[in-house]
Amino acid sequence: MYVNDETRTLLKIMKFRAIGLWHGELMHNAATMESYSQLLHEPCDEDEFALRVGRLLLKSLQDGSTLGATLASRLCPEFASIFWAQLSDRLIGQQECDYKNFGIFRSSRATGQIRVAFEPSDVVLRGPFPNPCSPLPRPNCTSTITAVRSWTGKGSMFWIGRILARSRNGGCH
Amino acid sequence: MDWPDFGPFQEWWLPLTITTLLAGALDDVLQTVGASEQVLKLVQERPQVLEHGRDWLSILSMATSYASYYAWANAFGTVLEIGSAIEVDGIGRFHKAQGRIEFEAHTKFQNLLDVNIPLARQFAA
Repeated sequence: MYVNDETRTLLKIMKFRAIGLWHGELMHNAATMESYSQLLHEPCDEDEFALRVGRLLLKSLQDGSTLGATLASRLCPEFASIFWAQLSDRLIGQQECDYKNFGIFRSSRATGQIRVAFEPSDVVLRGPFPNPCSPLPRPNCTSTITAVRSWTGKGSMFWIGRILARSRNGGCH
Repeated sequence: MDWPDFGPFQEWWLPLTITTLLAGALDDVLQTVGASEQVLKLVQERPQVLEHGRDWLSILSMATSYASYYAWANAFGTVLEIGSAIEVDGIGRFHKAQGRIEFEAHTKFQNLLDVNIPLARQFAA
């Protein structure tokens, strides 16, 4: 059960983009702009500020806000730009990019000219998308929205579990 | 009166599908992560873990990243499944035919790789 380098890199870069987008959302959303503005004016260091913003985001979600729905339209172009840029970098450096449970891109010059082949993953080819960490068993999903909801929760839990494990082992990233 | 020009169907259908998936799922995903026993236990028992970049903002942003990944892949499969091609500017064209997903790289993408991948390394691979 693992996430390979290219998939992990993609997720991590997107995480940092998402942090920036969340700051923007909290700053401009009518439900949170006042609280966020207060945080901006409270003296604290960078780490403490991040902790406070995180607590504000969590509290807003627990209070039933729909920040995610408004953020949704900004996530796709960000993700797409990272996805294709990482693919290009990976093909240039390694000639292969295996996005877990999405598919494998390979470049070759077998006939003298550069060719790019794509081998889709079984799940992208045939149906709902499972956790990249554990492709089986396939989920019994009635809709793709349910699939996203179900598998993202599990994927996030997997990631948080890794943080916990590293924390217990004394790691720091 | 003419219809407004939304541009080629292949360019906006995929982003629209992804956005729809995320708009429908992201709040639930984040609330699930924020309310999960595992995370709450983490906060109660090991508050020091919420330091050094492991704050709630990082955790929820990672969940956002995962959600984007799943929405992207799900949307990709869904759009191809209903028979539409996906045209990615500067990369290539994906389409499904006879149960297979075909990919045709754009010349621009091939040229980018051609210039940046040394001949020797490519033949060696």
